Amino acid sequence: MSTPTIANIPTAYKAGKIYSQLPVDGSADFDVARNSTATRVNQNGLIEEVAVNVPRLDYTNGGCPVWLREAQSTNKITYSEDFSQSDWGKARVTVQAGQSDVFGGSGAYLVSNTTDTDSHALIHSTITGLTASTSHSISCFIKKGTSNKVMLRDATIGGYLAYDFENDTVLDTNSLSAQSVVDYGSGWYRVSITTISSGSGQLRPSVYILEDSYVSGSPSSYTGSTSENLIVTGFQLEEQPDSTSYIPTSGSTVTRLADEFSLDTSSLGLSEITETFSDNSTNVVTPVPSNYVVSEGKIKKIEGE
Amino acid sequence: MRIGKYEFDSQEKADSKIKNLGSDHPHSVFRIGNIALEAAEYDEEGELIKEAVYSTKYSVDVLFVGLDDHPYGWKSYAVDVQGDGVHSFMGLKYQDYKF
Repeated sequence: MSTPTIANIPTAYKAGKIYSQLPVDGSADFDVARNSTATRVNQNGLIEEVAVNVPRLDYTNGGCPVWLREAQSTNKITYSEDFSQSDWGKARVTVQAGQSDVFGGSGAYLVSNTTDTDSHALIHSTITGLTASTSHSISCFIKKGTSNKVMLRDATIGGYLAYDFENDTVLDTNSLSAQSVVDYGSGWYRVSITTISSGSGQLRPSVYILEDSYVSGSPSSYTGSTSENLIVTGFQLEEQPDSTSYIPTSGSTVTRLADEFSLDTSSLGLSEITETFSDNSTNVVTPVPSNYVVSEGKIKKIEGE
Repeated sequence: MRIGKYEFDSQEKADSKIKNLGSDHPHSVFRIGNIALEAAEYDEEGELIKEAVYSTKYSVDVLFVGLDDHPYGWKSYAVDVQGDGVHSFMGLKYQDYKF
């Protein structure tokens, strides 16, 4: 592309507005709307809440930020951070609040094994009423404790991802359509799996502490030790093909509404617009509609000519 | 912005009402479905001990922009709840934004 007519690199914004670098007269500044709050990763690597209609400059993975433009999504887990609630079954584990979290506070939980012999897990009660046989993503933030190996699992269908923190390695997966382990810094990882809900619309998110000898397969039985633990916060279950930004809950399901970035192009004379995403993939919009709406995704750059 | 909580006799009725909202009133919909009136009971491993009892009503939360009252034909389906009820829109307390 030659010198673009419009250029937007994620930098400057205010509530309801994203400023473009070109043209300098402001005629290509984007209007922004989102009728709920939402979260982003700030420059310090911490997750923070952003007010209604404020664009999200997101620093996940560090480096240059992106504009986060997401669809509406609902966290179906009613207590995403409070694992003392009865919704969270403690299968041969104990939970202890007050651990440093990924939000800059101390709301995370230490999950420790008991000395019983069997698998060891924090297991949510079965979540019902989901859209049947549809992709759902389960995610949570995990920090290594004394245990090196962990599994994020749906205990209904059995889809899982097992991860080794010591060697930063995915050990095994089962029945997943997508998965990711993203480093959030300070020892925190967001582990995500995407699986299909049951024919009756049920899923059961869970996180297992695995024994050091684990290699692959479903969580096995072993005799635990109270000194074996990991730190967990921020569980999310959403009907999405991939996990989206974190939606905190405390007693009800919570919906983050969609972001919308739009631009009146009628006076700009554009023939095409190129959207570049964080993975360097691109989307070319041509012809350019008079009311151009930016595509969903993590936007690294928008150029038009 | 205003938030309305509604109960319909069926999902089909809710679908019809939502479809007829069209684009006259900017809105965002969350379909709650049939609310559990009595929660299911589970053992420590999350295994079901007692089935939940569900409402026969189909519940929907709607956030409206630019309206001071329920849209025409919706008020008779509106319900009120304590706190946020079983669902909320992020950062928007129902009690602060209800009609």
